[in-house]
Amino acid sequence: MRNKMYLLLAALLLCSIQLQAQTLEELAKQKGKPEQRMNGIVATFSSFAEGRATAEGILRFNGVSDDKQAIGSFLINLSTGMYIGYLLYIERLPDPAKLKITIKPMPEETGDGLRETAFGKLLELKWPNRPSYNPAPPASSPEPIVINMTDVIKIPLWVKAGTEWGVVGDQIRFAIDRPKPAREFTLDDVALKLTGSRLIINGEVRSGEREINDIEGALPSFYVPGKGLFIISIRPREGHNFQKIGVAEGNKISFSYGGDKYEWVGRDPVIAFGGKWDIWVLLETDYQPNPDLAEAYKLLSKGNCCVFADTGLDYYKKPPPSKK
Amino acid sequence: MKKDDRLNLENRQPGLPEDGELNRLLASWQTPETPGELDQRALASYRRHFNRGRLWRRWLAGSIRIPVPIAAGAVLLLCATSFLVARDATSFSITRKSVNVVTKIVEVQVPVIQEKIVTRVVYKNTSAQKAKEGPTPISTPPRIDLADFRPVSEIKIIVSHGGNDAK
Repeated sequence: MRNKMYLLLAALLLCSIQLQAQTLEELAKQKGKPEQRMNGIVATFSSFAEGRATAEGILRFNGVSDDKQAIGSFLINLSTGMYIGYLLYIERLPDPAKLKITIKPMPEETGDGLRETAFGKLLELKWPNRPSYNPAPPASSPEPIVINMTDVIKIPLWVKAGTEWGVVGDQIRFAIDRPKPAREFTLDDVALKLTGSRLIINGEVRSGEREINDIEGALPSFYVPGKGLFIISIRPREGHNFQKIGVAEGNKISFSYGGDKYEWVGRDPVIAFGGKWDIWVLLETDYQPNPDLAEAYKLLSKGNCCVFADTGLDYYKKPPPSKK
Repeated sequence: MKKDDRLNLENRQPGLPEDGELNRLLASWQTPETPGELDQRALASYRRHFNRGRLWRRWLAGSIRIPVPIAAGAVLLLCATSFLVARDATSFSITRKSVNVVTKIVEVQVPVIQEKIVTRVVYKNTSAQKAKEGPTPISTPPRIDLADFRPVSEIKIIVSHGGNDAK
């Protein structure tokens, strides 16, 4: 169970690649969002550097685990490709001005999970000569501490000893999470979830021996070389040429396009509440994936397929300017 | 008996045989009377001889008679003064050396401080420059080499109370 949680965390952090984020640096911008929420607390992450160091050589990824019980933080040293991670637990206490903070190292199983992801392959492509792509050996963790809500904590994670001493790490502030105002529910709030999926084209599994890590969003998509980017939607979108050609039922989305039959099959229901629903599909023929990301997915599928992504929603919420 | 006779008699050595002829001759010899101005002339001659030398010759060749206690005291005073002067001179040189050491320390520390400042200034200037430039094409930021940085062996939490004071 614990391993599953960590793998889910890893997937959440690193594998829902959006089209706009196709390199590690872009992924970090997308997944390194400074504000993370759990237990009614907003934890705001930033980097700190002391001595002869700056935080610019470190990529940081943050995300909340699937069970909402921990916030994960990964930091990659861009000079070496080594990375280190930890889990932050925040507990509220009877005294509303106090918080209990627990830090635990990221378990080694996380590295096993990451290795077979696009993220892991990006690491391999970026640092091909590394003997291992596991995270740095788990460091010992401190005892839980109780802090004031207004306190700031620093967690040193990268150090350089000697005369040119330096340290880089995370700095975290805490605040009470403000309740979000209610808003109208829309179909864009229905996420299409493809957990541990495979892509089958004309009856042939093309996505490789292993399952594709989780992709969840309103517009999941996959790119097939020579065809283009297929974007899946639960509803039509004004100004965009989505066609109602598919069906979502149970764990599978299926449709036919240009004489080919596509089946995208996950381990869990695509739509959480089940049912059988029409699916709209848009083919973007002009799209070209980032070469690094395409190469990473080639490594995953042994050169037989495709790039998977969670397409950004904003562009498709309204008609494109040129088509108004 | 005249003065000169008496001197001759007193100077006669005992044990020598008396010469009667010589004694008679001496007894009959009358010394001439000395002129009254003889003393004055002898004194004037002495002064003439003495005052004829120049002042610098008197300084070079002259001498002063000093009592031994005063001379000894003067020597002791001279030695004490010399010792004090020598000691002051030694202290001065040590002080100057210590000043040199302080200067060296400052020379070592200044570059470290400057590098810290430069690092931070460069970081801030980069942000400021980006803000001024506005939405320009994204360029790859300069890579900061952290090749020698290693993951910590032990995760520690550093708490800054109040937060606002934290860096």
